Amino acid sequence: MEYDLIIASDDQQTPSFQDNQTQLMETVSESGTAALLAVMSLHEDGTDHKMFRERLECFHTWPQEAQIAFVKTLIRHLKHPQLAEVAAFLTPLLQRDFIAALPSCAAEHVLQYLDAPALSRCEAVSKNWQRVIAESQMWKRLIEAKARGDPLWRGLMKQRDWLRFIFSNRDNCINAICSEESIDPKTICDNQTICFILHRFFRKLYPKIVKELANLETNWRNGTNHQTLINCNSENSKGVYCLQYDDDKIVSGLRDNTIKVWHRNNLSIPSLTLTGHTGSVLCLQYDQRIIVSGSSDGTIRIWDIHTGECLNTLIHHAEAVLHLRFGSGRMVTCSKDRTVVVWEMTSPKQMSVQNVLSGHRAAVNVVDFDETYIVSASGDRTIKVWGTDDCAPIRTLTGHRRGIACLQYKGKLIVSGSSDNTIRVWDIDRGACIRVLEGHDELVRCLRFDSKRIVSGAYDGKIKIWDMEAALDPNSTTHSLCLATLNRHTGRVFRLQFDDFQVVSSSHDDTIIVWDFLSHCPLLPSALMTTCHESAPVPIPMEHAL
Amino acid sequence: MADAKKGMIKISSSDNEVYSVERDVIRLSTTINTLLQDLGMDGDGVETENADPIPLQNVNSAILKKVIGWCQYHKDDPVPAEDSDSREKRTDDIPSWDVEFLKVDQGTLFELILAANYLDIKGLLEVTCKTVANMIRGKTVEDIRRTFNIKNDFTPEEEEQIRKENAWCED
Repeated sequence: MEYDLIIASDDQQTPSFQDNQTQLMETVSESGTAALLAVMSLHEDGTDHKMFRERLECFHTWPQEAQIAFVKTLIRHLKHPQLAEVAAFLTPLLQRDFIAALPSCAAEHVLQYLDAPALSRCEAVSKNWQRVIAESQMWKRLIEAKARGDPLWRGLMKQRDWLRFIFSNRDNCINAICSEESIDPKTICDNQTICFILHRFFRKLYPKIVKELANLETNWRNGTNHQTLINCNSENSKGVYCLQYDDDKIVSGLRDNTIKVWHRNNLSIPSLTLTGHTGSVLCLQYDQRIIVSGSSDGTIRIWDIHTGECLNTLIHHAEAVLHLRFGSGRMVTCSKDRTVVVWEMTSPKQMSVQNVLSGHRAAVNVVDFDETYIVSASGDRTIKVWGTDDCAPIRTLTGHRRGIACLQYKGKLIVSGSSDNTIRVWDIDRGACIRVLEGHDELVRCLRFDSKRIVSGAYDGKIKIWDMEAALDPNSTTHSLCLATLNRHTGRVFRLQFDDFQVVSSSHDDTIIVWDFLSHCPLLPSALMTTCHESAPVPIPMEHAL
Repeated sequence: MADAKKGMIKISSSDNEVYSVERDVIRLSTTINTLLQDLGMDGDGVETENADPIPLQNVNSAILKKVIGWCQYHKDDPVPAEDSDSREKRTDDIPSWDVEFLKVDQGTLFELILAANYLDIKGLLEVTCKTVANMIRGKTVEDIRRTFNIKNDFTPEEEEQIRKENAWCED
């Protein structure tokens, strides 16, 4: 047979591969293909094993290029239906079950790039994929990545006390989950069961978090919340002018000249009451060490936040200190005396006036600053922007038709509230007003904003939640901007602060209200497992697990 | 292939092909880099051209050639940050050269991942794994099985159960 001759010539190391290939093609085209196919079909029938094997052995001795050339030539001689058959035979040979066949560390490397929908689809691909995802704890990792990268996820998990399940070592984690699910940890000492319990827990926790965050967003949009009311029980003059809060406490400045610190686990009585001011406490800010307060007595006092001891009293302003901000060794205060004062803060006991900014023609009601700008707003209807380092006036923003009561400056934005009942959003660099928010019926006394929303409080006791994204979009219509109105205060809203989960506001009505937007009575992840899924989850074939 | 130039390292594939690679190129393999340091073959003036090639039993010549090609192109890349956990897991940021480089059959891609894993070439492992992740994402379960020729070994009941459990992310 011609076919044998070719193999023989190849064995003798044909010098030129090109020659070899041409020769191959010519010869094969004559009778070789038919012969080989005949052999193959014989083999398929199982009738001539030996002959097929010999041919194959010869084939193996050829250089790779020659093998490919030969097979290509063979294929060219196939009819279309045969080609289709070869293609169907060939395709799976080139495919790989990556997740099942790769070493687990490499499979994990692939899986870590998948989001939740893709990961959950992967679990449904095959038992092997399901097993790899369980063993490598991909759901836990996904939750951890989210908690690291998304403050909202982290915040929710903190609120729900779920951070103890992640960011902890395996033993603490398994203990926390066991106590959550009422499993005796002593009963599950083998690795496979632990692995499965962890996997099942996090796989259920993920959608639980997603659902809670969706509910949270809906609650903000609908104004659905749960309120906790703190009654300050002031004796003489009632009212809470200012506040700041964190996870543990609320610090409030009162009309009765005191500062009251409330611990969040007991809001019925203040844990600390600071006395010393001889006028209402109009403004305050605290950090880890100190509380700084400004009063209608014209002084600024600095207190030790832990002991409540008054560390320093600054007498400079000629009239009431209306607002103050401090940070990075600097403090800015403003007063009814129409000035803004910049202080150098060396220590609580060492504070010196660095600069006095004059220019406002009425009381300066509010200040804010960062490394670049100091921003002040006044009863004179203007906002003034000053350089933080040189204290030089940069520009004056006009537009409000009456005095300005409140303002926040952050990033490129200023948001201000005025006695003209409107809120204005400004671009600080251009000095341009980019949005006017109308909806309050009285003076807008306080406001704060973040990337999602603006929350404002007015003299009629109402708090409004505004859609920040919509406010910044020139195309959105005016009635899409106000999402909800919170109505419980019976007096002027003086001050508020908010985060992703709550608003805390204080009022002339002598109360502080915590407006909680996170749905209450949450289902624990374990409760979710037993109540929301009637049947048991698909067991992972643990006999293959390790 | 022997190169008398200083700073050349010889490596041999599982099928005994010997390649001479610049030190700066093979540096990208943490496995080889560490080995060279451990062997004291890392300083200036160290004679390397007559040394025996480093045997890489798990990588065949076809794949090793591709791996060297990748390292050659990427030898001047900045060292990637260590804290990969805190970075966002993006897969749409594969450099266009790598996209072209990785237009290969699944078998080759598979071998490249194994090699990158074995040789501990962080950057190559990253782009190859991202490529596979991109082959998975956005596909239905059936599409994923078809893409990788995987047999569905769940019973209809098991399938229905999984479908119910994962319904939350499919709307």
